[in-house]
Amino acid sequence: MPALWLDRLPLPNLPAYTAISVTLLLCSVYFAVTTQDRFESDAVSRLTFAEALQRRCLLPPPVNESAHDQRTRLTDYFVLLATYPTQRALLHGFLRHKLRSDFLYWPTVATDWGEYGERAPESTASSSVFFAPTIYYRDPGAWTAALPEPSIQANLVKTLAFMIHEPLCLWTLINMAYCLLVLLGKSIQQSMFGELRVSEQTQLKDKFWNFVFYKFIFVFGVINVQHMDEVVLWCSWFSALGFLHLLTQLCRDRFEYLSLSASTPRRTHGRLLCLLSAILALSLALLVICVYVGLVASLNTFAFMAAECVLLLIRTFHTMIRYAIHLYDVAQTAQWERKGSLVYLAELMFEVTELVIDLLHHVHMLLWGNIILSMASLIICMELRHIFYQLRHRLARHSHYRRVVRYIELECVQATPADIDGDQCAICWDAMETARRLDCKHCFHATCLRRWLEQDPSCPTCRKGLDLSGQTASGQPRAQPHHRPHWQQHRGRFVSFLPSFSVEVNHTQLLRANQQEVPASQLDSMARQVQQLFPHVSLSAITEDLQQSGSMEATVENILEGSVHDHPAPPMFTSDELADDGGSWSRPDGDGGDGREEKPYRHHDRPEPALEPEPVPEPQWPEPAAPGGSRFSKSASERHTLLQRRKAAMLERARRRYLATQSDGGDSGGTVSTSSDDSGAPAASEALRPAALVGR
Amino acid sequence: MAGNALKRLMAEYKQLTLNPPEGILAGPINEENFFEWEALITGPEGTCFDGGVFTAKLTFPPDYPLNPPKMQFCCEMFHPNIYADGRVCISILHAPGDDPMGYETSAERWSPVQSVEKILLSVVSMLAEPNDESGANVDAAKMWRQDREQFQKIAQRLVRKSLGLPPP
Ligand SMILES: [Zn+2]
Ligand SMILES: [Zn+2]
Repeated sequence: MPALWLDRLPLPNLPAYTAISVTLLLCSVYFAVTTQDRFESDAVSRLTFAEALQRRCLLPPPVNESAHDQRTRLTDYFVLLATYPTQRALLHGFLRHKLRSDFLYWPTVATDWGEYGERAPESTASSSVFFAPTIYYRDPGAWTAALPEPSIQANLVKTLAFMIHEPLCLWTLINMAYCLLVLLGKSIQQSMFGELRVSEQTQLKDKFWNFVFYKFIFVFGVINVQHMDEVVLWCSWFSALGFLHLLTQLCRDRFEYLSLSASTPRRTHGRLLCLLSAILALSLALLVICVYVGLVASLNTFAFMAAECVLLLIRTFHTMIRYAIHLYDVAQTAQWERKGSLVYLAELMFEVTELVIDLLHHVHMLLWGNIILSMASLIICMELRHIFYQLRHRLARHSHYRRVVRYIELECVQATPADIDGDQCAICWDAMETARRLDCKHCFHATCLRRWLEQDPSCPTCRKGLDLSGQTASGQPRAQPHHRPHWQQHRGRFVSFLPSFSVEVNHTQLLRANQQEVPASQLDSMARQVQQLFPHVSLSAITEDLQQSGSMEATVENILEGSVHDHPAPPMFTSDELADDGGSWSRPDGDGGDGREEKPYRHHDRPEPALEPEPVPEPQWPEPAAPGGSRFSKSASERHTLLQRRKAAMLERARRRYLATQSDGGDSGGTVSTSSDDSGAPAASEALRPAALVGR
Repeated sequence: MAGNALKRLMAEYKQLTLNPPEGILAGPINEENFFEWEALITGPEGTCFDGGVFTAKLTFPPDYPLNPPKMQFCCEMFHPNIYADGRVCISILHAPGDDPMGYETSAERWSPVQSVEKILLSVVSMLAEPNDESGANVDAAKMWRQDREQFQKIAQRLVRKSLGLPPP
């Protein structure tokens, strides 16, 4: 239900969101510029700021000196610091300042502070950078006096600094950052993937909510952050990470889809691989950030951050490797024997590493979170169980694999050329150079045989059962036959115990697809399919009816009932034309018939008449009038057209033959014309309607 | 891996195009996706389905020759071995591991040696001689056993429908 509601929610479209974000940003900048002067002169806030610093031990506690003395001393110190040319470092200082507290605290600052009065500011660059902003709060007069002249840059920095400290402005800044991220994602999607397919969208949404859910659990359940700035930091970290994760997922989905096609242009593959390498580079950069944070902060934080990073790295790399192997597979005709096992080992390594890291990450979360009995730990436990099960399953599969490999190595002899005798491998239909021979004298590629035996221990050809592991074979539970790639098992893993997003989102999309009208491209192909059944009805009439009915079945029904009239309506079949068989279908008869018969094919070229006016000259292909073989073209589009043509011819032939036998047999049905003439149609439809209703 | 499956499917498509068996036609619906095929099957002569041209959709798994495709008729069918939604229930389409009916020997089930052509030929013979023991469509099986004439009448209506002709 929540997803249904979520889906219906009138989410603002991207331009509107961008406009709102920019407006908000401008408003907050205006607010900052107009307010900060007042803020600077506000003595009370200055005081509280200094107190806050003291409470956080960033300022030394007041020792036995009077408040006035301390203040002057501090001011002196700040003035001293302010003489530093730290315009640029000022921003860093603020950002670092935001990193204070338990999450990332600055040991150097705390120790350096001890002799704050004595120590020369030159030697404590970090603390000067750190405290430079505070002077601006403490004593703006000193600050402005110390600086030579406030440049535009300094003003900008001042404004930015103010905005970071003001919650309202901070949120607009964050919002703007997200807006930019969304825009970036959108532009990458547009340039790399074009329109997303429905399954990709679902998968993406699923993954997105999964990610948000688990990170929410992590931030508030496991590390249990208290301060707003920590939340902001973690959120930005996970945003970057999640963004890359989603992109990887998208690449994977698209790759799987592309791998189904034999005719993907090289450029598409290249682009996808480029994107993958970019993701790889970025995740490496994230890893460097992890190491940096790990050096200054705690080891725990490092482990949490690095685990996610490494997972991303492995996934991206895995996808790339798969991609490379696939491209190699398609391009290469011959198989070399070692390749299969190498590919298998690579897959195994990737999958096991990923699972192990995930497992450790979750164990770490469970142990570190000092809230053993909470909802979060429960969810992590479930997740842990799932990962553990996957890992065990994977290892079981591997031991089965090793058994099969051993069997092939020991029991199957290398086939001699006489055994092969120019045969093809019956599994992959490729020629065999080297092969393994089973006891029953059947030969296969070693890799092909291995993949089959993993799933069923029998000879593919004669189905003779094989004893894979000698003594235990009979009692052994067979490995599950359906091994899906690891990442496919991943989808919707908490579906069982949480309101599932994927399922419901899917559902609403189906609902919508039924309610809305059919998209134009689909409509066109549907119309063409209908027209192949009814060549006498014009495409425009079919399209019109399809637009109303929305389904092919309904339109076919309508045509059969005679309620679809096309305006030109050339009589397609007269009964004598139908009576003569087969041969007349092959078009180049020269008489009036061929103009009409070409019609269904001409419509194929309709969507892009300018691009390819007539991609294939008509007489080039002999019409397959007899059920003999056709040509197998190398070009995908030509193949497709040929197939469509053969299909239509087959249907037409069958139709004629059927009508001929019906009229030969003296059956009354034989004289039924396809109700194409307008005059007969209404009467025919009257007569036909009851029959059609009965038929349903 | 999809690469191996793709090559094998391409080889089968080529074979089916160059030497098509009588009354059978098959190929990818769309060249973008080689794993979904459309097949046209002519009803065998001298049977109830004589003359009809029935359209079916074949969906191949990514590890294709290791696992069987799924087959579903797109047109209305009434046959003991075809479910109401068009799915075909014949032993050659059952994966080697599972045995939903519990009586098939593994020899009848899928093996990578089978091919699209063999599947379609099995379907043709299934159309000619329904196996009324495995009741995918119980009504059809019952009618096939008890009221052959009525079955024939329905089949003829389906034949006409499959050809795009109005019912007589
Ligand atoms: Zn092989
Ligand atoms: Zn054998």
